[in-house]
Amino acid sequence: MRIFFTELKKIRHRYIWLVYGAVFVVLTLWIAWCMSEMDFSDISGQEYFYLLISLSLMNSIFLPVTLACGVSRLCDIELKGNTFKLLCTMQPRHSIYHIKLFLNSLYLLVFSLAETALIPLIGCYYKVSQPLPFLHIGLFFFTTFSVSLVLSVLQQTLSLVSVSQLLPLFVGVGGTFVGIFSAFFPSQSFFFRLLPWDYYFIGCPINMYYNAATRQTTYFEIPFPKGAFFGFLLFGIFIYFLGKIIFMKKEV
Amino acid sequence: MSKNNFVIQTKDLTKSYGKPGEKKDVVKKVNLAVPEGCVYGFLGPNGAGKSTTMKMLLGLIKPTNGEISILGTPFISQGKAALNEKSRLAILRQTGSLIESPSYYGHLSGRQNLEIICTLKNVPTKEIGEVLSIVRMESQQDKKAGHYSLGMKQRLGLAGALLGHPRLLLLDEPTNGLDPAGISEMRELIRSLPETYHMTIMVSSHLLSEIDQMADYVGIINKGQVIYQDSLLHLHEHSRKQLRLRTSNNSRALCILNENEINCTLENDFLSFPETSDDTTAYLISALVREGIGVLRIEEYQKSLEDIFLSLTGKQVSL
Repeated sequence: MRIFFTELKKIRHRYIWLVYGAVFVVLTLWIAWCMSEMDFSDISGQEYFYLLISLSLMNSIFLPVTLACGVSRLCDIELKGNTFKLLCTMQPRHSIYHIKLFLNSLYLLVFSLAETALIPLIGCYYKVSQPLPFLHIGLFFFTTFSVSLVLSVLQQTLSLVSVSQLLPLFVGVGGTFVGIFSAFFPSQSFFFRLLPWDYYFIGCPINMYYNAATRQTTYFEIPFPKGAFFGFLLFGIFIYFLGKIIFMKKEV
Repeated sequence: MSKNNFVIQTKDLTKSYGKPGEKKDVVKKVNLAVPEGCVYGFLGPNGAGKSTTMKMLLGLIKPTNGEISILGTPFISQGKAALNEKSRLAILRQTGSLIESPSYYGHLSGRQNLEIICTLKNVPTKEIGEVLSIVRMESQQDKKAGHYSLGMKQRLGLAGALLGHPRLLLLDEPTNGLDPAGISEMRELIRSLPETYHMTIMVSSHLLSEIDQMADYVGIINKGQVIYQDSLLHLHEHSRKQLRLRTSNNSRALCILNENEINCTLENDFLSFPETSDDTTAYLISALVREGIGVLRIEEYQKSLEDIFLSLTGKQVSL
């Protein structure tokens, strides 16, 4: 607890919550605008599916760079002030790594809960006809939180071991580009599943089909890719251990 | 405390970098012995291995080999941690350190920086006022640390190191970036700490004059090896006055002086021997003249500390 409260003291005036808060506000405004412009007769009975797939796509575009910024702001206070050599004489080295991961996962948890709560709220506000798909919304929360957590482990490792914060930020921006194109990749392709930033979209329980002739989009349920997601989570655990070992071995 | 009252003791402390077969020793078999309650000056040219040694003492760098004992407790044995993490931190909680550049959170005020150290060291925050007054920073405490000058950051770092009244303080080049007045103030402060707060200070520098004005004991490190370690007084003894003599036949004169029980050495063109009384000097000169040896020159010579340092390190740098 002592280390946790110290970490809270350290991030005063860093406004890390603002990074996630701003993205949440942008996503809320964007989805509200889309819904207000939407002709509900086109997606009648599929409104929640529309919301789920749209938010998953927006997450894959916005969250990689958001995570890179949030994690970087959390880690660069130590790098800028050369504080590792001081901290390592007062607290276990692994705790420096863990407390930052824990604190960032709290931000992610709040963000994921808020975004998940947004779906029924928007649905209620626009009085959609589709019954609330609890299972799909639960899977959306799980995907958003777990993919963000794995990506933040990756970003944190890069942020803590890089001298400059440019590399982790470039990786985050690269992740955003992958996110932008993720909807264009065939979701079953092997290459698509090798890119961790794509898992926001891979983990979405809804897919869509656009009929160019009728100009109609049909949303349909797809089975959650348990195997691919399990592999992705194993990748996250591997990155966690690898990052921790690299950080523990780093000379300060 | 250890049986010899050494606050820091190392045995064959070694740090190597590089691949096997191409390893380069940055610190080679260093044996330090820092007595309790003193200011120990750790002197050496830039790149000699001072910071690496101090980082190893704090457990920030893992030694390749050797032993370290801090405050009488074995810290590293055979190059491996002799304590678990909890015990290591318990020992380090009794030490303060300022290694290389100062550590600080630029977006927080000086006081908030010290509050963080208090929380991590489990020290009451009421000590902050005391350490701020020691380093004379009370009026600057609410300013953001990122806006401090380098000298003020050094003082803030020292204030952080003093929190919790550590028994041992490790300061790596603490006067770096200070103006002349700041250097003098820092020196006086370091000098006063052992007596006022019963601390032992290990302070590194590449400036001989600085160590000369602060330290009781000195260890000189060069190319990773400790080449001298003893009291500063003993080092000063090396700088006793000597007489240097040049004659028409130095080798014959050397024999005559040795016959007269004068411990004399031949250095280049000069015979060199410890200062003697005027009567003895007059007697020796007349003895040489009686033997037909012409006395060409006689002079008094005193080695400065710089000369001793240079003769020990063989370096014409950093003085």
